[in-house]
Amino acid sequence: MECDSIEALQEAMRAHDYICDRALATVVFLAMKLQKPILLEGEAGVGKTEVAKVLAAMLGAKLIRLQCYEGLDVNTALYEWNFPRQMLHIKIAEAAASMTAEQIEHEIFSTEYLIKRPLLEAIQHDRTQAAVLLIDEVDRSDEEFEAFLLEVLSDFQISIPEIGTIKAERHPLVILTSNRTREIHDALKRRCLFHWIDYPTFEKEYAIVRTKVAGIDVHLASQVCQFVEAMRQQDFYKRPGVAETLDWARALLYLGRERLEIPTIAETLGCILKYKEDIDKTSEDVLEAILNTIRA
Amino acid sequence: MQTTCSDEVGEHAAAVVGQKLLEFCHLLRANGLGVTASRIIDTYRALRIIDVFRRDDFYTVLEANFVSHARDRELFRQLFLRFWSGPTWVMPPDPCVPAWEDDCIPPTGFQQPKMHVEAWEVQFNEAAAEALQAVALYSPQEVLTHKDFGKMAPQELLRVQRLIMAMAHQMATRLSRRKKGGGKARMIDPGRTLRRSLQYGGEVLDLVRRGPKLSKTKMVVLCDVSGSMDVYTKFLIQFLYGLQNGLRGVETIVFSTRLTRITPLLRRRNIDAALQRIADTVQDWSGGTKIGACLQEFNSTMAATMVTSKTLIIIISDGWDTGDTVVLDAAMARLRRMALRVIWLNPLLGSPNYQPLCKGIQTALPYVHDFLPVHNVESLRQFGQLIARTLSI
Repeated sequence: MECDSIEALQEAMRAHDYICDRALATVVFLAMKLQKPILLEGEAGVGKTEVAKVLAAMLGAKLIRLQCYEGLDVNTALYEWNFPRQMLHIKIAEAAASMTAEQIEHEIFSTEYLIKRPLLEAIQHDRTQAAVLLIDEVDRSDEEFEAFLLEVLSDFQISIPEIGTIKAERHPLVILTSNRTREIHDALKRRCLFHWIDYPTFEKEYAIVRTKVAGIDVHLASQVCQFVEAMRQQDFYKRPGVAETLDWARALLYLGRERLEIPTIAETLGCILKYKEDIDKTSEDVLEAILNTIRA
Repeated sequence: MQTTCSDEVGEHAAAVVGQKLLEFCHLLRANGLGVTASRIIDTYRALRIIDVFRRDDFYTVLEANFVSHARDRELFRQLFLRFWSGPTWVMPPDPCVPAWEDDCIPPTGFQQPKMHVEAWEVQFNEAAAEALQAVALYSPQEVLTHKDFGKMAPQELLRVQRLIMAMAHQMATRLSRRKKGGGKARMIDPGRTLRRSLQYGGEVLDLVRRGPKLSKTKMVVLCDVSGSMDVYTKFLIQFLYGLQNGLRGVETIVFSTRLTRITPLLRRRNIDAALQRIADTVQDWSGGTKIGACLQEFNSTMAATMVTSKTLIIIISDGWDTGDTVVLDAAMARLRRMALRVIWLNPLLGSPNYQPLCKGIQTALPYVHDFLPVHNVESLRQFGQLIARTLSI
């Protein structure tokens, strides 16, 4: 599916239950047209990863996901030889004594013995189907890996010494996300279109809750969004994201609550605050004060 | 250009925007944003795809291409508003884009009141001159090593500086080497073992091993540059400079009433140029101290990107806090929880009859793993040994 305008893209994402503001739609639109990766930053739980999933669903593309972590290396991200199988082949060939050492070597270093990891998969992907490559939480990987990623993202080609160079016939749409646990190197950032996903406005969050939590009362949805918005003004170690709002709205729905009241909020506070320190400092008085501001 | 105004006027306006864009790029670059040729080219390509007359889209395109740090977004917004404020632009309302006030405040990065290194040095020399009367002029290196920075004569300064630089360099080298050799359990690398075996016709003779992935410990140094620390600051900054240039992953931040990250400034080749830049940049050099508020600001702004459970936090301060101790308490508690180790270096601790009585220190002490002096070269050396021990765990 091709979107030929920003509006069409925004509409298409909305059809896949992703409420997308115009700025994000513009960046995605550009990324598709210019074939540049997107770097999405923002607080946890504002829907960064979701963008990639929705785009894949929308484009009918395959979602290839690379979850980054400290110590992620090329073997896990790119490719690895299937050692046990190679060993087995050598032993069998030896027993049969039918091949020379060179023949064996040639045989075991062919693509058949290659285990494709996400990056190679994204590059070697079938040209008939689009692919979305999600490189999630790139800030958790090491600097060495980042440098390597830079190389892959600039040429979309990979050299495997035993086989040769593999070049992407069709560039996948690449989305990198970062929670900013550390700064990503400038060189990698320069390769990408940068977009910061902020906490949503009330209107946007309300639309998200209405879309994602089927059957929620209009009044409750509005109260929940206002309350969370007010909570974000507080000084918390971890402020609630959209994911927390949705969890909370669902919880309230299952509990059959129709409006926000102090006991209800206190019971379900764990849905929006995830640190004991944050919960401890949110006394009933604080909740009361916040609730009063949204009633006003 | 694919625009909604397809007439000549529209085309002309688009061309003007294109020309102005280069000027804007210069402005961005002058303000420290990473504007590169390839980014400019990409922006021009992008402008051909979108409607340049929709100001919100135009804004998004420029921001996506030229901004790459969350912290630069506000600066970019201000610059954009200042530069692209022509009356011909009509803004379609979009709730998701920040409101466009035309009476914008100039960004903080624009003009900074300067406090030159000379002024700082005058203060420093006055303090040193006072001390001079009490101390003999001749000092061999051993004496120098144990001498309080605050009591040094101007003639000794240069030698001490060299000593500190040499030591910082040595320490940095030792630390980085230590990390490389620190492998414990080593695993067999099947891939390379197999490849090696091919030399012997597929017989596994050598086991190739690979060491564990070494993790890098980061260090964040928070250095107090308030008035009460004056005498020591210069040496400490120098030490930090030497340390940071030899080690990867050191962040340096100075504070008194507010925070300033000086890591990029310390990356300069020349220490004097670096000190000059720091004095120019840090606005509240030698003011009062609000340790609590500064640490709290650090926690909420920089800690997320700098501190992990493998980070050493080093606070250099005498603990004279004019702020609220409740704030300091909360900030220290959070730091302690986030970091691998919190080390507090206090120059006053070098004095034999010092008691940690002031409110700031008393509040902070329960959260500190190590409380050490930094008043002379010897104490810096001991500090170095402590970090070396911590990093080798």
